[in-house]
Amino acid sequence: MLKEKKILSRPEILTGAFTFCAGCNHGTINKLIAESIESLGLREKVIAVIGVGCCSTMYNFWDTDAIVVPHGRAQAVATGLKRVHPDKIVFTYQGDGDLAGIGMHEAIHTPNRGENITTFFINNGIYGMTGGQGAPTTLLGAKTTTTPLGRVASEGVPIRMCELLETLSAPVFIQRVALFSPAETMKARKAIEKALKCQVEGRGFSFVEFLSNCPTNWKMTPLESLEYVRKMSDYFPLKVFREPQ
Amino acid sequence: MKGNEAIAEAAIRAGLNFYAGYPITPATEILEYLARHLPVRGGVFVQAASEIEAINMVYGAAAGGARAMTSSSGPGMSLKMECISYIALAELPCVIVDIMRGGPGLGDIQPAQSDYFQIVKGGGHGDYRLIVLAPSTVQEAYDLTFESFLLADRWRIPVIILGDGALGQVKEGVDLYDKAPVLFEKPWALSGAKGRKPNKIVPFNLEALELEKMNLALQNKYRAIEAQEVRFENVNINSKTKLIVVAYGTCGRIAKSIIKMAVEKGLDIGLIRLISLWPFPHNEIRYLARNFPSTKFLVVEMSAGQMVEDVRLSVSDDTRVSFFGRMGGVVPAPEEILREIERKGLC
Amino acid sequence: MLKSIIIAGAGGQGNIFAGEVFAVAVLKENKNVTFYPSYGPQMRGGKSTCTVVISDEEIGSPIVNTPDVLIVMNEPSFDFIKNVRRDGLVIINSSLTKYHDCGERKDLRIINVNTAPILEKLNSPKVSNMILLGVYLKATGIVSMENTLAALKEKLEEEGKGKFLEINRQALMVGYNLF
Repeated sequence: MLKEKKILSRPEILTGAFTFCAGCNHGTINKLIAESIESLGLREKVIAVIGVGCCSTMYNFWDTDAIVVPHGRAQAVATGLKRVHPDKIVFTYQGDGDLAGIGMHEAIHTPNRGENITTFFINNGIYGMTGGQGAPTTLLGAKTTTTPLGRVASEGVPIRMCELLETLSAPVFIQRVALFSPAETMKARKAIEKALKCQVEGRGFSFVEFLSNCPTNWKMTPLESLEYVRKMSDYFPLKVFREPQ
Repeated sequence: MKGNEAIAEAAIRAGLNFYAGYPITPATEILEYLARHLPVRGGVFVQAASEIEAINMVYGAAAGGARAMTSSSGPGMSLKMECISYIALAELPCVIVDIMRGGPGLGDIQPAQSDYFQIVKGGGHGDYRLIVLAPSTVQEAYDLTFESFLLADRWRIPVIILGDGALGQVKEGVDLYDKAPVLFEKPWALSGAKGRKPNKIVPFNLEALELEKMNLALQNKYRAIEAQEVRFENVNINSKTKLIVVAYGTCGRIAKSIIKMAVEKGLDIGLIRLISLWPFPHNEIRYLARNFPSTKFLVVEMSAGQMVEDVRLSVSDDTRVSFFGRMGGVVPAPEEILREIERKGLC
Repeated sequence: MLKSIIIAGAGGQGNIFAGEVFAVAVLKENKNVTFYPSYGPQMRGGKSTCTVVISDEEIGSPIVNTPDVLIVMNEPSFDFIKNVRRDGLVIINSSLTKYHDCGERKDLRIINVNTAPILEKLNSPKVSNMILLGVYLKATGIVSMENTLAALKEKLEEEGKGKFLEINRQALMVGYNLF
């Protein structure tokens, strides 16, 4: 007699259809974070602090407490929330413009105070929601609507956030991951879990940078975009920068 | 006790849970007083790395259901405006203390009232309002700050305590009465969705018709506040009054000196001292203008003339409304205003 | 009753402190008082002035252009003389000022206090503010010495400077008994 056994399902936290573009890594990252939250039993403790970008619509299909915040300020808002609810799990979800551009101030000072929150930094080297302009992490030579001839150094050299945060002594866990292959995706999943565990154990600030894609604005197919992310990882090395002690 | 200290003490006694701020003259004493006292009395204190960071932390804490406050002066308030707009649409309660100084630009550190437009009329983007209270003495600063947390929670709106450098720095006797703060349930707050449906705080909606609905809800709330929270003080107004001074904050108390001096000279001058700038006492001023048809109004502000526009709107007769102002952080003396009144034959 | 006093001098002379002590003393006598300081932006030196208003009734403006009393702690503060009310009182720290009278203002009552020898006797260069405050209290009888001493003790202890009580008290008493 055959019995049905569920071996894989969509995380229950995620309700409703994603509004991301087809092939966008946001969908995968959302799923990995949701899975991790569920497997750690954190669903009823989570407060999601969502930045401005394509991710802003996340609250529609995240079945947890959530707040959408001014551009760049997610880590400040998260600080306010975590300080008044120290036992809850507060994470920020921010794109490259949100965190490394307008939010660079909070991106340094929040980790520097060792706030016990987790930041998920989605780095796809472009401003997706607003139509494909250059970002602080856009690679040199890359063409965007505001760098039509390819980015040059005088427009800013792409910023490596993990390396920047490594110079601060306060953050307890820093890792950069990507999703262009199943192996890398598994590493990403583990990194997420490690980061959330840091917060649960009250260790301090945890940071996971995801090299991500934007097939729509890069004007590539999803598969081509994953290849591009692999190239990005030459400039943004995938590794653990700081292990939780 | 200094005005700034009284404000900070009132906040603690009203149940302040979270304060984030940044040093700026002439409001810094609020930050420092809370740094010393708030953590040992059960609250969280954070010195933020910028004015913007501070208001966004308050946004977070308020979203979490806490009683949250920040303080600043003109240049800092300018930086905070984006987030204030978010908080207004999100309908979160918080208290923001603004101790005004001379502007524009870096200006100076002396008292001024040139941020009326910025604070009362907007400053941030979108159709929103904030309750704005203007204390004129240290005792009133204490009283109104204590009450502001209740107002903020009840109406789910940011409340601004609008002072100026004179109020912040002047020291007076204060009665720090012991009153248990009235606390509110906040079922809408973010606290981890255990045993309830998740709460979302989302100050945006890409569907215009939906956003209009959100705006209409705000407008309904504002009409209710306008009906219930107008505050002002009338001094020496009766059928013999020839001139009514209209003023708030430090100018309000200076006006009381003017009235004293005027009485000694046999002049009939009264005062309507505004305590709530929003909601503005339009009805009261309209009533005074109609009931005392030959009475003139003199608006006194430490600015180029901002609140005077609202008075002109209420009186609806420009020939009856005059203005006296000093700018740049200069505090007028009652004598010079009285001289002006006599010179212009306003009384 | 409505009286106002301005103490004007340089930063570091303790003018603000003297004004605060006086204001607390007034509170102890159950009168209304406002104390308003005015500083230059410098951390040291610069201007340091305060205005104290005393009244039985609610006080209007805490800032006064025509005080009843002016205490002049240094030379540049002589500028304020022209603002003093008719028949007002001026107390001058004459060790630090060039002029010893008030020019055309013949109506003013002037008290010159040569603080230098007193400071030497007391062996402290810092307490001119208390000496002049003592002179002021005797000249006007506006608050009692008892309440002023209590206020002094309170303010010093508030700032953790209780050990300076004795020297300040002495300076206050010397000033009080000078005239």
